[in-house]
Amino acid sequence: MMLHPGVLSLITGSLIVIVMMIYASVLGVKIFRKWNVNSSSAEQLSLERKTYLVSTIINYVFGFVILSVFLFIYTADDIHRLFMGAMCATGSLNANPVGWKVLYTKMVVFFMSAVWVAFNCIDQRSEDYPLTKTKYKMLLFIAPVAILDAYLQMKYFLGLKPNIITSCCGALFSEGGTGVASSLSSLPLKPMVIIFYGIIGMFLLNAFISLRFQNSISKYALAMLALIVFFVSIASIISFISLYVYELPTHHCPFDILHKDYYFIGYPIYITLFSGVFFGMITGILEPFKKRLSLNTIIERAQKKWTVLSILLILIFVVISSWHILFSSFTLKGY
Amino acid sequence: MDIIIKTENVTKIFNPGMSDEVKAITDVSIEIKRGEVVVLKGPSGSGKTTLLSLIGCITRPTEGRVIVNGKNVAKLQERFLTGIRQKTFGFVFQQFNLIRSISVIENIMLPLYPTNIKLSAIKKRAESIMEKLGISNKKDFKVQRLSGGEQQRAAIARSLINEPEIILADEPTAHLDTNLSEEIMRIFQRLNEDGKTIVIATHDPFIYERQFIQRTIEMRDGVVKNILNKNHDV
Amino acid sequence: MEKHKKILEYTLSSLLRRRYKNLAIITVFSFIVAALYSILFLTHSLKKEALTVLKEAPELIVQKVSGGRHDLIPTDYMKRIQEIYGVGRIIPRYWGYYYDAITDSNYTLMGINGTHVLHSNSKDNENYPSPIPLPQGEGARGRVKDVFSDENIKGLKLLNGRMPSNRKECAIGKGVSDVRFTGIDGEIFLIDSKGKVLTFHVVGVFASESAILTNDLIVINKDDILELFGMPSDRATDIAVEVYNELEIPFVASKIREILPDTRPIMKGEIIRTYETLFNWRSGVIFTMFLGALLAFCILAWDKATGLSAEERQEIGILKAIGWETGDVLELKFWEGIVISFTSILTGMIIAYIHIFFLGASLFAPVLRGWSVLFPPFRLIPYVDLYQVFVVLFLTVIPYVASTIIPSWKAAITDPDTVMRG
Repeated sequence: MMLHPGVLSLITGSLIVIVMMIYASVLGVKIFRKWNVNSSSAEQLSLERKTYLVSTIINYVFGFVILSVFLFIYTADDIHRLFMGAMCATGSLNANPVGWKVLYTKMVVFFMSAVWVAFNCIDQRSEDYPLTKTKYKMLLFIAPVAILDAYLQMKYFLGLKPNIITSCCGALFSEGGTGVASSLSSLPLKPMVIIFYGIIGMFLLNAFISLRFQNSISKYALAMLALIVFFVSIASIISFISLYVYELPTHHCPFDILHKDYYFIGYPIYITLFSGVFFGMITGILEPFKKRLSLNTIIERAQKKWTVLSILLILIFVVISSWHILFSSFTLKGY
Repeated sequence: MDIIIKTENVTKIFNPGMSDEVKAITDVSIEIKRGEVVVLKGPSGSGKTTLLSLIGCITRPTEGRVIVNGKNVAKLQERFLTGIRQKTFGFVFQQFNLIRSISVIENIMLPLYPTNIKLSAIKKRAESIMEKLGISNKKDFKVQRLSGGEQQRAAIARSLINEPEIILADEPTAHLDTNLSEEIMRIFQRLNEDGKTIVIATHDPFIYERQFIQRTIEMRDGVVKNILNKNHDV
Repeated sequence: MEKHKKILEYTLSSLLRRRYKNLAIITVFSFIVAALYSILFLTHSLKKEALTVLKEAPELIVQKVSGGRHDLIPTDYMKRIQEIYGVGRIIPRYWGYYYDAITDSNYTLMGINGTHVLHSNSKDNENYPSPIPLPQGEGARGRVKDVFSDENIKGLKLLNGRMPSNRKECAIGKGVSDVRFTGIDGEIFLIDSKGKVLTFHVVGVFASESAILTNDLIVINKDDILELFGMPSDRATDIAVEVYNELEIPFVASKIREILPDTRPIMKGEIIRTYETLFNWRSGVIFTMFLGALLAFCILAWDKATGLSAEERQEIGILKAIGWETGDVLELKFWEGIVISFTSILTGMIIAYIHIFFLGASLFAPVLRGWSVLFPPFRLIPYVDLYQVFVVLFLTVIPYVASTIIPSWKAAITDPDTVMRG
């Protein structure tokens, strides 16, 4: 076990999130079992008031999760000196591979709570609250992931033994290694660049189509493409975008771009990517709920707004990440 | 004249099913026309305040329908009730209900804070209303430094800030002497001439004897006892 | 946007109106934040200082171990090490601790000059860097000042005088000069291993700015140290080894162990990790102790948020009656939490900064630094990074905000018709 201020903060934060999630889920079960929008009984009124409590809690959880993703990465970065051979957050995560899973569960909780917040937002715009039951059932899926996340995080920190020889990003993301991470960085460069811009191009094209023609297929396709854009972009950041940022042909670390040394360029890159992907996905996720009459126009309006947002965010993402490629003196010819 | 508010067999029970259950009003059906001045009269406990808050979308009925501008609001969630309230109604309460220790103008502007109207625009609006009601010289005073009449005028000004179609007043003269009551009623009359619908709940005979009042609805023990049409032209 | 801006404005004005009520919570909050930041600032700048000094230290030190104990190392081991591929200069180091019964304190003695350097292709006979005395057990004591090197000492600017160049000369730290009431051109005597008194002429006193490294230091000639400690002339305290390629250090280390099984090679990386773990552990321990205080604070926050005065209740009732929605009141409460948190964080941070960097960490220093009598009254170099700021923010704001959710909600669902029935 490591007694480190960041570790303590993360564990405290996770415990609070779990307590809040469980409490919200209990309320959620109560709400979806007894919810009757046509009743004006005192019970319905009190349930209605509880919906405010639940949405407040989830909004806060959402905020806390975003902060904890960053704190987790910072902490991993801060403790890398404890591990032989580790030079950044990657090294710390490798010291106990559960660390990667923690990162993934955090991202899943992030996306799930973001979806919940979006659902809540849509639901509250319709007078009959048509998504209420769906919404509160969703809570029962988020809570276990939040608990899993806290558990894995605990396991990660408990399992960290300082002085373990670990591979750092230099080794993990070096072309000679095995495993997913290093196969990402050894992806042939040219095809990767083509795939990256190709997928983004397709995504944007599809987004424009779905704005122009209001058909369901384009919405679903947009959600799928958004997901693909996400993975391809992460792969591209590791595979070639980071190289141009660091101006080093072998440095593939996805975390170092968050550092001051690189002018915090990672923040706009990740924030625009994550939110752009989210807004792309949510339009497709909401599509099936359009069938409910009272939601049709509300969802349509939201979809339009969110598609535009998604286009803008992804465009900004592409511009920022291409900036270094276009204007850096560094070239990858021969690599 | 078209009907702006309508209640159909409205019943309101407080704490239903509990030992302290109170049936505030039972089976009330009334109609209020656009541009009308209506007085709800009756002794305290007769249900006028409850009816007023039902009309004004502050509470929801236990049974029955409340129709505001053609829309049934009886089952609406709080979020939407508030929305309708913000657009349609201005409230004048019995106990002025101004927030102490903030300035008069802030109090007047407060209802529009949770909207997307710019603060400067709200301020302009508040100033012009205060001008009309003759309290612009008290703009930056703290509420507790105002006299009773000034406080009530500030409260009326606050009810006008959202440019409501309907003004609901609950015992607006209860804490005022005759002179001030007279003044307040003149303000209501002027507002009515500007086209506002006004509903006043009161047991003060001074009010319902006023000339400009077109109808009085008499209530007793939660039911409508009598509706008196004073407007002979109709 | 306009809407949120106006609600925030109203929050600020209502907080100002009730400043005395919120003062209590802000005071306690700031105090906790100040305590946490103090710990972080202190450990962080100590760590930073240690690491900066370590940068100059040799990559690899070889100690002899006999029977599990650190022992003097024969200088002819140097030849064996020299044979390993990739090894650069090799320097024996002479140093040790000296207990002075008169003043009841410990000094660190270090020998310089006359060091015979084995080097493959140069005659450079400079004092190649950095004895890092880190014998067994020292890591646990975590005495940052134990890290020094000739180059550092030069870099640290002698306030007065020079370094010893002849026998029976010495340079001493500020702390030593204070407890021995001596200075330049003064004398200092030490008792050698046979009980004989050796007198040294003080030729230099280290500046107090360098106190963390030099406070209890006495630098003397290498031959003097051999005499003082009764060391055979073919022995050294340990050996510093230079390795050309940083990546080969672990390999060289394991090679040394192989050819000289009675030695223990210590890599700089290991020392750094030891410090790192140590400082993290120390601040972690104190953080854990403060978690109790944090919990108490959350209960206080909960209580304060629940105990609305009649006036506040009335105010929320009015707001709701005149057109504020539950969500708007919740937003008001959210801003309230944010404003209180940030005010407290900022206040706490400023208090901690003053406490640590201007007042010399007067409250915590005894716990964190060690127990040497001669511990220096040093001034820390202000060093604050975003990570520290963020950690405390995360650790305090989240529990605070979380503990006010339910009370805020209870306040926000106030029935608007309460004011009508009032």
